[in-house]
Parts: sequence; C-alpha cells; structure tokens
Amino acid sequence: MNELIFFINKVLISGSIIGSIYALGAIGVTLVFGILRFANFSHADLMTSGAYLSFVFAALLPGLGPVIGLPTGFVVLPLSILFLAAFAVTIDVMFYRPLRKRNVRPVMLLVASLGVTLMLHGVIRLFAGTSPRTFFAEQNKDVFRIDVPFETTTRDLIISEPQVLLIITTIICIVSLHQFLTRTRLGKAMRAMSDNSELALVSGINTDKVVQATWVIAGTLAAIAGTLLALDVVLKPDLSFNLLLPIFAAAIVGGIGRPYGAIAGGLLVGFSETLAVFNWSVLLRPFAEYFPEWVEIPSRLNFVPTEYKIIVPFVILIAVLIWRPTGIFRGQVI
Amino acid sequence: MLINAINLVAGYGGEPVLRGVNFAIDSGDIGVIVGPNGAGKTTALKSIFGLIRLSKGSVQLEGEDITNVPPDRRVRLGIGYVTQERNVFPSLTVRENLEMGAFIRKDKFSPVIDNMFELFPPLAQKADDVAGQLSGGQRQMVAIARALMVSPRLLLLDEPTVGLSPAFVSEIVDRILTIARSGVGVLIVEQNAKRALEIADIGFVLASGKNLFTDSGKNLLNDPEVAKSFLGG
Amino acid sequence: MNFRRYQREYLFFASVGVAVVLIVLNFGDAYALRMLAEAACYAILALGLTIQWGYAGLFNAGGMGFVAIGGYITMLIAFPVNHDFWGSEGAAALGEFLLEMLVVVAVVIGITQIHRIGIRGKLKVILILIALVIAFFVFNNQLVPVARLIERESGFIGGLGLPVMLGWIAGGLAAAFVAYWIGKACLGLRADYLAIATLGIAEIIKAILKNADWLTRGTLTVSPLPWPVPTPNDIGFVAARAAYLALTAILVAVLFVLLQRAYRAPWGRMMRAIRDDEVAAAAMGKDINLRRLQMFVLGSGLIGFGGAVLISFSRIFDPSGFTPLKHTFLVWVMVLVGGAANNLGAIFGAVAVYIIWLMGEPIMLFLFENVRLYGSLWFDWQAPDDLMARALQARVFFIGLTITLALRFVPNGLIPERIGRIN
Repeated sequence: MNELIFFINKVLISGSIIGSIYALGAIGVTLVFGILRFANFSHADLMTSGAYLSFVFAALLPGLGPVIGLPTGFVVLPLSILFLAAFAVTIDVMFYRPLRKRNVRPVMLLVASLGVTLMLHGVIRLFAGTSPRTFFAEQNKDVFRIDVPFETTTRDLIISEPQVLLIITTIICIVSLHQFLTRTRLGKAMRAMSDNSELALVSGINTDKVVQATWVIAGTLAAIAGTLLALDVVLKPDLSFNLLLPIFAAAIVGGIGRPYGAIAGGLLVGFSETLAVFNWSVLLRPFAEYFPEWVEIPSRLNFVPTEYKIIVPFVILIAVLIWRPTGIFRGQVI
Repeated sequence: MLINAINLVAGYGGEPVLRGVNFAIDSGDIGVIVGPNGAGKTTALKSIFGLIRLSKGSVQLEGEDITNVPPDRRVRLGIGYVTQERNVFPSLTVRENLEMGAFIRKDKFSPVIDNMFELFPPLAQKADDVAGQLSGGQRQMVAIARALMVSPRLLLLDEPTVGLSPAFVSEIVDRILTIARSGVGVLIVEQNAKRALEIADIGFVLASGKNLFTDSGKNLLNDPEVAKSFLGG
Repeated sequence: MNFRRYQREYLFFASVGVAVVLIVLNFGDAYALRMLAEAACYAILALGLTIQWGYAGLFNAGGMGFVAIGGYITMLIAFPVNHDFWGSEGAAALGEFLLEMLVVVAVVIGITQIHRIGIRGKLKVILILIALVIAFFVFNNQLVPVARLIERESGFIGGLGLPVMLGWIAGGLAAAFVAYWIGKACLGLRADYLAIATLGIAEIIKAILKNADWLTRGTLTVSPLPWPVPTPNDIGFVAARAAYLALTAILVAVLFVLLQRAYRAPWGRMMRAIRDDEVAAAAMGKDINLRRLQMFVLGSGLIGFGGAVLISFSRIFDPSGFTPLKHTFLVWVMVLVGGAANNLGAIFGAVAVYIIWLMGEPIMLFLFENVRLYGSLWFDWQAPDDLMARALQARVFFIGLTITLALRFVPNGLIPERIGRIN
C-alpha cells in the first residue's frame, strides 16, 4: 500500500499541480493565439513577472498573510493581478498594436513577442538578480499530511498549502472564465472574434476592446499561475522559460482558441510528464515474487529520465501536429 | 437617396478594380449589382462598406458624406453587411450570433431577436444550436438576421443565394422582399443575373469596373443588349 | 559598382570599419581578431537564418539547437581518439547496445508495415504507438548501464581524430538531417508551429548534450578542440587568430557568392514568390511545402556548419555554454537589423551587432559602476553584491528592445532587400 500512496503523491498530486499550472498558462496562450493569431512567446515571462510582482507586494505588506491565515504571497495576488493585467495591456499598446495597425503578417507579432520576452528577462534579472528566492522566509509553508487509515501503510498523503490553493484557484478561474465567455457580451465577442475576426469587425464589434479584454485575462491568469507556481516551488528568473514548451504543447493539443481544450491539454501534458518520469520499479517491487527468477527489477525504471523531461511535451506536440494539427478539440488555426 | 456612391475608384494595389462606378438607391428599394466575373461586384460592395480605401470618389448616406468613416462606425450609422463566405461565427449559437450583430446596441434587443425568429422561423428552433452545424441556407439566414440586428437603413448582401438549394433560394428571396418592404434599402451582388433582376427595383450592370447599364430590373431584363452580353440570350 | 546606388552599404560598412579600428587601438590586436573571427562565424549563422526567414519567411526559434549539433559533431569527428575507451569493456557494451537498438528499430519498422498483413487504420496507429513507447522504454533503460560503464571506465567515448573541416561539414549535415524531420512535421502548418517546435528541439538537444556524459563529458566540458589552422599554442594568439579569421572570412565570402547566385537564379525568384504570395505561388503549381522544406533544411545546415566553426574557434565544447540568447536570439537581431532578405545585410548585421554585443559588456559595467557609485553617494543606496553580474544579464533587455524597435521602425532592416537588382 505504501507504494500506492507513493504513486498518488508522485503522480496524481504532482500531475494535477503541474497540470493546473500548464492549464492556466495554456488558456492565456490559446486566447491570445485565437484572437491575435500569434503564438505569444512572452507569456511564460509574463508569468514570471507576475510571480515577482507578488513577491514585491508580499515584501511590502508582510503582515497581511498571518492576519488572514494564508501565505502572504497568495493574499497579495489581487494586487499583482491588477498590475500585471495593466502591464499586459500596456505591452500590447507599445509593441503589438503599432504592428497590427500596419497590417503585418501575424508571424511578425510572434517575433515582437520574442523581443518582449527578452526585455522582461532582462528587467527581471536586473532588479531581482538570478538567485532563487522564497515566499516563505518569514512564514511557514503548511504541509498537510493525511494519514491513510490502512494498517499496512506508513506513508502519508502529502499536499502543501500552496498546492491546495493552486487547485482551488484553478477551479475558480476556470468556472469564472466559463461564465465570462458564455454569459457576458464581451466574453461572447471574444469567442466571436476568435472564430472570425473580419466578421467581428463587420458586425460592429469593438475589436480594440476585445483585444484589451484578452490581454487583461492573459495577464490575470499569468499572475495567478506564476505566483502559485513560485509559492509551490521557488521563485527564480528562469522559472517559467522552461514552461513555454509544455504550455504551447497544451494549447495546441487542446486546439488553438479553445480554452476548455487548453485545460484538458494542460492536464494531459502535466500527467504525461509525471507518468513518464515516474519510477515504475516502485510499483513493480511488491510483485517481485510473482516474476520468474531471471527477471530482475532494476532500481530505476522510467520512460524518461528526469533530466530529459522536456522531451515529453515535445513528443506530444509533434504527435499532435502530425496527426491532428487542429488539436483534440478542433481549434480553428492551422 | 439613401445611399449614393459616386465615381468610385478602388483596388487592391496595382490596377484599380473599380474604375469610376456609381450606385444610388432609395429606402425600401432593392438594388442589384450584376456582371461577369471580375467585373468588380464584390469590390463595389466592400468599398461602400468601407473595407477598401477609395482612391477616388465618395460615398454618401442620406446626403451625409461617409467616405472616410471606418467600417465599424458605418455599422453604427445603419449599414449592415453580409459577406459571401464565412459569414457566421461557427462556434457561437444562433442566438449568440444575433447578439453579436447587436453588439453596438445599448438598448434591450431581445425583442429584435424575437423579430428575427419571426422573420426566419427555422432559426427559432435552432436558437441554441451552434451555427457551424447548420445547413448552408440556415447559415445564410443567420448571417442576414445578424446584419439586421442593428435595424440598418441599408443592407449589403454579397451573393446571398450562392450554393443554396432552390427551396432555400426562394425562401431567402422572399425574406429579402419582406425586408425591403419594411423600408430598408437592400443592395445585392448576384451571380445569377436573371433571377436577381426579377426582384430588382434598380439594376446595375458592371463590366471591367465600370457601369455598363443602369435601369429598372424589368427594363434590363427586356433590354436585348443586356441579354446578349451576358444573360445568355 | 555604382557608388550612389550602394551608398547605404558603403556607409554602414565604413562605420563598421571605423569601429574595428577603434577597438584595435583600445583593446589590442588579439582581442580584435578574436572578435572578428567570432563575428565571421556569426555571419555564417546569419546567412543561414536569412535563407529561412528572409527568403522563405520561416521562423526558426531553435538556432541554438543546430549550433549545438554542429559543435558536438565537430567535437566527435575531430577530437583525438580516446584509446582508454576503445580498449575498454565499455566499447564492447556500446557495440552490443547499438546492435540491440538495430533490432528494436527493425521491429518498429516492421510494425509500421503491418498493413501488409491486413492490420490497418486505428489499430495500426495504436500498435505503432505502443511499439514506439516500448522501444523508447527499452532504449532508455538499456542505455543507462552502458553509459554508466563508459563514464566509470574511460570518461567518455572521445572523438575520431579526423580532420576538422570534415567535422564542420558533418556538423552541417547533421543539423540539416534534424531540420528535415522537424520541417516534415511542421512546414505544412502556420509559421508559429515551426517556431514552437524548433524552440523545443533546441532545448532537447541541449538537455541531451548536457546530460549524456558518456558522449560529451557533460558539464566537465571537452577541450582543447582542434583547429584546421595552427593553434595559439603553436604560433601565438595573434597569428593563429589571424589565420582562423582568414579561413572563416573565405568561407563567408564563398557562401555569400553562392547564395547571391542562388538568390538571383529562378530558384531564388520562386522562393520570394512563395514568401510574398503563397496562394498565387500555389496556384502556379509550385509545391510550396517541398520548397520550404528545402530552404529550412539548407538554412539549418548552414547554421549547424556555422555553429561548428564557432565552437571550434572557442576551443572548448561546453554544453552549458549553449544559450538561446547567444545562439538563437542574437542571430535574430543580426538578421532583423541587417536586413532580412539581403545576404549583404545579414553579414553587415552579424558583424555590427556582434561588435555592439561585445562592447555592451564594458559599457554596461561602466554604467553600473557609476550607478553604484552615485547611488551610494547621493541616496546612500546599498547596491546588491551581484550588481555587475546583473548588469551583464540585463544586456538581454537591449537585445529584446532592438528586436521590437527594428520591427517597428526599420521593418526591412538597415540594408533592405533590393528587388531591383535581380532584374
């Protein structure tokens, strides 16, 4: 039974955690891709910026967390959301809108987003340095150990407070995004513009406003994902550059412009990663006596060594591009 | 005149497609633009809606010059435009498509939606279906209804019956007549010249970016020269 | 040549010349030669990217990966033979492993042909997927003990001790080979997908080179890499670097002439037609994806080749030294600033941007030394200890800024494409 608990800790819990992060990132990427028609390479650095914003606010308001009883980094989240959403809109006005007005090919916007991502890279490194930081210097990170009521188990299910917050916040985000997209005029206009931007213009939809709303949502989700990831792991400048590929893979698997697809894609990529690096020997060992004698269970038995984890989203990405470029949810962009 | 387009010259870079054409229709009239392929029919409609920058000429809506007004503002001024292809939002429901048509309306528009369902009864049953799954004719209804949601003064239709089955064609034509009778000016681009001219109050025959003939639909149909040049005898 | 017509070109190259003279005076011959030799290597990279971006409009965000492949293959081919390895059990184990893998590959290929015995459709796809997963599982778990054995006995497998130039060509070919498969998967789709895929493959290549110690010594690095010309140990820094520079300059010149000819040939004209109006080109019956694949493979091959030359020059193979910044984005800036569809522009961009990039280092240090000084004088500001390291990292901000500014204000680069010249 201990092995099973190990599996739940290492695969189910880790997978949903990283899957949620990917999902939040992929929703932002997929919305921008759907509306503005380019793969936003700066999204991961937007997430990192959000995490650093939260770090700054947490440092400015250190007393806030203990009062409410939650990590300070989480409590200041609304502030970072506000700032990052405004920041995302500003970036659009400064760097993307002038290009759009000139009617350039969408891939030019992609190049611009590379420029933006490098700028964010530089600014973060200049002001924060490259050394990792933690949100829990003055506050303890609560870890819940859930005793499993079986006699044969000695291990506990382990989940930390930031992880619980992450899962709850992700669910809240998804539900509110769904409400926004299906119930509000602006949300419907976003879906409309993602469907067919020329027709949106012809219908009299204020496309500038839709673009702004898109950046606000992308910024909001990036702030949430970045902060919660930093709370769960650690805050460092290249935190999210490694997330770029899995997030793109998730967005493409889900179908570009399909937020629900992005959620499914995020979880798919997240679980594939954890399953691929999981050491399957742990699960096989209890059954060692049932194997013939000449079979020796190696101490490590995994599909992909942890160092090569990045191969997993890449393989998923390529497989989808070859077999079904529109993604499992039939996105509209190929 | 509801709409008066004077001496339009426009194109996509290079040789102009329109080389000085004129259109004018009154409220409640159906105007039809016909002509051979490449005559500039669709371009004419686009330039009236402002999707193409004019290099010469002007467009007036009820006497007011709108030549330099961008397309989304023209919607507010009361021009509805239905493109030939990709004219619905496929992943939105029929009702949502209509709501998008009413995006600029600040008032309560649910009665307008009900009117549309009255005008196009098949849509009422499909109100909550995704538009991408409708048949071609139903999509065309959604597209026209979407454009009507702003209660436009002028409706521009680009080949509204292309690729539809005969039953749908007559239904759409019927609706267009109803719309015009309610006082909306309708300007239609049509490939099927004969049928279109039958319902036209005024017909514009274009060739190589110029007005060839302009007359009432009936007269054009009976004009032997028009018949000879492209009505196929 | 008509001076007025090429005024821009003369002007820009003259200013580069002035900069070089100033650098020679300030930093000495050896430094300037190193800078120019590296800039020449970057010029090859920029020419490769120009083919992809400028000629064909393809977005390659994985320059680093192809540079790394070129660098590794050169090391493998040209580095002296590691006799420890060839005499050890590790060599035998590796041979055995390779044979096993041949069998695995044969089985997988066999399974891809099962439609011949009547298994088709979904079932076939599923079987192939299962076979691939199992094959990968076997590959991964068989490799680990062999790799451990080699690392324990003899460090790494070493090189083959063949001529360096052969290594460069092989490096280019290897990069082209990888590009072929990436291109096959992505070129029918939007440019964005190619960008994402190349970004991914670059990171994967780096991860492999960094962690496969038995192949590359990983973080221990391999040096000194051999040169095709006498090394500084033989004839001193200045002479050796001058020789290397001469060689790379010849390479750049030859490549330039060849590309210029191709650009003016019907083949180049067709490529531009495809880039500018895909639909019209398709209507003329051009197989667009095949053409694009050619361009992508050719460009990536050049990047691999240039990477090989660049890494050889540095004399050290260090997988951690490959960074997207230096080997992907810097090249992008060169091409965007220089002029996307212009070979001369790419070369100019490479030299000019590389000079600015190198000079950025002392300039940033100088600036931030002053920031620290006046910050503490005027505001009693205690600068963080790693301020200088941060200042260098912050150079990436200017790379990004240059990209966005170039896109906005000089979308065609400083030396734009000259359409008139071809007719």
